[in-house]
Amino acid sequence: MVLAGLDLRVDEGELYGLIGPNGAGKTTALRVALGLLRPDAGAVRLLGRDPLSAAGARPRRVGSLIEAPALSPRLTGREYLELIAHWAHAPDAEVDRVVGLLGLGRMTDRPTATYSTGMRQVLATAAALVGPPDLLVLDEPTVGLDPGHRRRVNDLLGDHVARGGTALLSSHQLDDAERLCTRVGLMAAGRLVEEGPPTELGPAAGRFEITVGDPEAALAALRARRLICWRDNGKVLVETGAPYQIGRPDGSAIARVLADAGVYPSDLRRSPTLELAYAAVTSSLAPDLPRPPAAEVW
Amino acid sequence: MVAGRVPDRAARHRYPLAGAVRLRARELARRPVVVAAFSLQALAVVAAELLAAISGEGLAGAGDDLILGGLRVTAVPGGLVFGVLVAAVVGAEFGWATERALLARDPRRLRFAGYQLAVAAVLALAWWAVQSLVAVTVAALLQAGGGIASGVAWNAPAHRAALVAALAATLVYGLLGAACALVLRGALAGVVALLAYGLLGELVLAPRWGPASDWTLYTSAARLAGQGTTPMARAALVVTLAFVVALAGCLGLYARRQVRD
Repeated sequence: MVLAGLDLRVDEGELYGLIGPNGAGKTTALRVALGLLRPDAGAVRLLGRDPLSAAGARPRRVGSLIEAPALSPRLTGREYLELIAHWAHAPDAEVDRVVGLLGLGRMTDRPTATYSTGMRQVLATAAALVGPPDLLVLDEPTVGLDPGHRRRVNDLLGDHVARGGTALLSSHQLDDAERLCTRVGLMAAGRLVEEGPPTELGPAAGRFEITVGDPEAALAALRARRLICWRDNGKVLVETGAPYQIGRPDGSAIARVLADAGVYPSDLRRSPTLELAYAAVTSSLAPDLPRPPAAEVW
Repeated sequence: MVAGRVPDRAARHRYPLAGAVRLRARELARRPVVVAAFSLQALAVVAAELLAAISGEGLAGAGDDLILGGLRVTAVPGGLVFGVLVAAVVGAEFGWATERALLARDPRRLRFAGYQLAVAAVLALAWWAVQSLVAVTVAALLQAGGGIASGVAWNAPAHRAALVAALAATLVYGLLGAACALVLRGALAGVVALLAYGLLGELVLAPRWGPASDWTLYTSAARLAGQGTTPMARAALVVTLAFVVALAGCLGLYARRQVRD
């Protein structure tokens, strides 16, 4: 049993990130979503249809990258992209488009057998973008990429969603997930433990970190406005997401409070919430997860 | 659907599967295993014809007719060698995991299996054309150069029948190889399965039991090429049955394929 009672919905226009420890079932969930695996029980819908259904004469508009890149070693990068375009009923112009998008250039004239791990990953990402697809399903798309390509892939994901596309991805890059995803699902032991916008997950949801020359003055100013705050390793932390918090001040509101008191921070940023949420899931929640009844098992 | 991003229908490929098969065929032509198998089989045919011409003992029961002998060798064991080659090249898709990328785009298992069988068919036609051309050309040159008079024209009915038998054997063994690779999901497993069936089953075990020896694909393909004493109708039936069973078996089993690797 890899997935247990997983209930996951990704709406159109979302960039949904699945995060969780190794063996949590993220890749299996993506395989089931794509129709590569058949669930033992339960229902799956991809773009409104059974992903395993053979009905309909055309390939669906879904681009994917699951685990290690799948490439034919004797084809050049361009020929491999052409193969995907043919298979997906996409025009040849699509190959030029994705080559340009990822800045692949003359690299695509070489056989894929000569590519480095990162280059293979970039080409496989390019293949996922051929279509263009309405839905992207990517399993750790930035693994093995250099910082430049990682940024480019992340930008492309953002552009894809900004143009109305949808993306479902799994990742261990928590900072990327926190910055890019509109919603994040935390998985452990085959179940979805927590789900929501990345800034509202885990114990650090809604927390701000302030670096300031006079922490005591900052604390006094914040407390005067009834904000929950404390000192931590030279920084001032402000809690804005706790359920007992009155109102939900954002970063600019906090900056105004400090400025009114004559305190000017050198840095004010949201605390990395996913990191703490992830730690909570992996350290305490996962071992105590109740086992679902057999009927709910996929 | 994302507005304004649907490619022009006219710009799409008219025959997308044919385009995919063409690219895969191009890829196969670059693979050392394919070049090696084509070369080894051609060398084997040339060597067999050369030895037959030198020894004067004939080839594959065709007497002085080296063209017929060469075409018979192309049918069997040439067909069996080709089956092993197809098991290797179709099975390689699983090692590269391209199956995963293609099925994620289009989950129709039968389309993927059909694509692999189409690739195998293209390779079979190339194999048959090259090996037959080598067999006929070298035999004709040896007969002309060595003053061997077979008394049979190059386009005699027996030659044409052997040519057709070579094509049938190539296609059926190729289909068997593809089926083994598709069902067992790997090159090595596919090759081992076909070798176990072809070498152990047909050439070692079946001849030890009279009733079975006349019902093997090897014996039947040889008979279609004009060799042996098996009734022609039975030989045609066995080859047809092997084709149908291999096709139905691999499509039926692959239809429920779950991509775990």
